[in-house]
Amino acid sequence: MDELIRTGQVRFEYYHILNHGPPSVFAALATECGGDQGAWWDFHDHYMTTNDFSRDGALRHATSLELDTEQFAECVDSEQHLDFVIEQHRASVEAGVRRTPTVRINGEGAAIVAEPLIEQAQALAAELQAQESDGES
Amino acid sequence: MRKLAVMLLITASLGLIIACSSDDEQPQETPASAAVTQSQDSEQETPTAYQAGESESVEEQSAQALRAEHEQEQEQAAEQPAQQPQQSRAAQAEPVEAAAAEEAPAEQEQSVDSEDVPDQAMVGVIIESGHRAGVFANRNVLGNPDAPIAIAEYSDFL
Repeated sequence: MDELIRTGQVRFEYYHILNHGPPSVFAALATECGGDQGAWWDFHDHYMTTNDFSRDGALRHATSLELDTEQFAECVDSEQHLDFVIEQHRASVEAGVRRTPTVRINGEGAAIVAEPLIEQAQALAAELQAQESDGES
Repeated sequence: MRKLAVMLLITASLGLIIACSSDDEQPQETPASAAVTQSQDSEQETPTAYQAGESESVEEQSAQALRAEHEQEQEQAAEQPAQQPQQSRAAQAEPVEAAAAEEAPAEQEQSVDSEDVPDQAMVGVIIESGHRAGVFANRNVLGNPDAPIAIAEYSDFL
């Protein structure tokens, strides 16, 4: 998959769903605040692998990434991106998202399990490559 | 004198009447009395006949009205079984919809609470790989923004 992303055949988008109340909202806010300092995916990956959704945990992670912790704390405490994450959640629900995680390829279908998703993406990429090669020949 | 003459006339008429009645053994009425009797009979019969006719017509009307009401009731009764299933279906549909509406959050909770951590972790690994490759498009977009294949994940970190 990373090869598909690196080669420009696939792009991956992530949208916040706030199904678990304050912890979900805080994690989304912290991720967006990390994104203000270029660490959006670092926080994304961090929250994918941790169960610590506390403020101190977020500050510790910001410190480990050598971010401006004061700015980060102010961003989190002021809930600077609250409207954005709520709007993203609302728009996703309006788009039909009911379960998490929901994964869509080119806006169609939904896959809960990641492995079929990879297979689908690889198959789609192979099909596109075949079409390109046919067009060139 | 006049009184005597009147009494004589009455007596004579009475005697004549008695004589006639004794001869025929059938009552024969004088034209005047017969006229009175007929008028009385007609007065008695006519109202009776009218009332009877009226009552019949009322009965007929009421019967017709009852039949009409009964027919209407039958029609309604015939329609009701056809409507009742619809109503019952509608009544059933509402709870189903309500149940579906109630189930939807439950499904969300179940799906979220089912701790599909392996799935999320798998996606996380993909993202981590892409991330480390340093291919960024936008804050929440990894890879080429013009890539023909867009994979969108809608997820909760929890």
